[in-house]
Amino acid sequence: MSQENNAADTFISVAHVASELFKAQSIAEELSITSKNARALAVRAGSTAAGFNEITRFIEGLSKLTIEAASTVNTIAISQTKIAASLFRTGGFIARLNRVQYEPKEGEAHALAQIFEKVNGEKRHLEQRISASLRDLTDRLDETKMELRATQVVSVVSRVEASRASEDFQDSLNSVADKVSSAGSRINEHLENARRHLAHLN
Amino acid sequence: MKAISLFQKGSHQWLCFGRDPERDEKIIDTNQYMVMNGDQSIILDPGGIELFSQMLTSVLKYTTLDKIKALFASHQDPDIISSLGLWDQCLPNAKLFSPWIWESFLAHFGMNNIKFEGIPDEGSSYQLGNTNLEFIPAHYLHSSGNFNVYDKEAKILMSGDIGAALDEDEAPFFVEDFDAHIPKMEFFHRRWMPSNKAKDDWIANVRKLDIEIMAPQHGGLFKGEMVTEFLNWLERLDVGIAQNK
Ligand SMILES: [Fe+2]
Ligand SMILES: [Fe+2]
Repeated sequence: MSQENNAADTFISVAHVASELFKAQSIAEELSITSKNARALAVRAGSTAAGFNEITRFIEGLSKLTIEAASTVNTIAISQTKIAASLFRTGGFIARLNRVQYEPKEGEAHALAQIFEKVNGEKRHLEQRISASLRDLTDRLDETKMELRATQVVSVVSRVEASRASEDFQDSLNSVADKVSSAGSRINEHLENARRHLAHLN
Repeated sequence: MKAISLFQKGSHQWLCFGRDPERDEKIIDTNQYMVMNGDQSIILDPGGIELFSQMLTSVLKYTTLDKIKALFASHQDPDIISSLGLWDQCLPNAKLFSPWIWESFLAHFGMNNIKFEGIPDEGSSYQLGNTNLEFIPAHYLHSSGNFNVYDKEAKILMSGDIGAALDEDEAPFFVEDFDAHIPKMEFFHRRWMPSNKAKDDWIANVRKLDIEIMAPQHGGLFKGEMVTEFLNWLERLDVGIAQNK
């Protein structure tokens, strides 16, 4: 693949990653509302749902974590897009320089040698920065995925707590459990998608 | 890309590059100019990205990169200066002279090394070796910030888009039959130029200059009598014809 296409491919993929994380973020924001509702519910349910307080704090934590991850990924994505754009320009410049028809006269230094050297160095440097920041991005996504595994546990625990609560509240508390579980798997899906967009670049 | 010499006296020389036979037909044909004096050169309206390789090829036949001290962009159009980001990598110590109003717009083409020198609305000048080049205001013809370059010694006025014609690639560098040339210029001037007042002011100003060659950015150049013919024609022309319908 040519250098220009490579760079273009990077910024298209990274833009996709950022958009997946943006979607994950909106789900996390919903999750945060769910957690606040659950807390209010727990207060009304009184001592029978005391364990729920702990759970809501945990949900709140998960939602924050996802929102933070989205913001970090977004920052990396923006800087990555900038590097890819420079690489794209550099690639274009080298291609145009290659098309210049020029022969140095006898005993004269090559007029373009220094420029070639400089721009090839720049290109290597940009490529290194891109792969370093790709690794960053992948690590951050994997980390978030790991941390989100806890949502399934939270959902199960919520259900146990719900069964202990008085009957009036059971339905509502179960619905909290459902929401947590569904949010978790939807966020996870977006992280998987993001990961797929990066897979072919590594 | 073809090249012709418009003027030469000692080390003072004007070159015109254009009529590029390798050009993609979707791209409007442009004339690029290079003025040299002593060991200094300036490129006037260096052209678009797509032309860069051919331009650098042409330029290196006459000068070396370290001698190119400046670029001039009459206005902000892509056919004038979208190659800026590429020149920027070849000429890290050069300056770009262009209407001050376009500085932050031109930066979009990539300007990390070249130093921007904004030309004030009333115009200014640039000392190239032993000769002085004047930046003559030509605002609204067609761009709202626009300059011509006048070389008193060579008697050449580089007029940018003024006098532009959509010529065939095989057409000669100089206009030979003015009447036959009119249809190639008329629509361009009437549609691209927005202001009769700006046009009349410019004509009055330019009539005071001693001009042997008027060199536009597209199509044939005007020499001798043809310059007066052009000014008379432009004076009669009603410009700014587009309407919202
Ligand atoms: Fe223009
Ligand atoms: Fe033009």
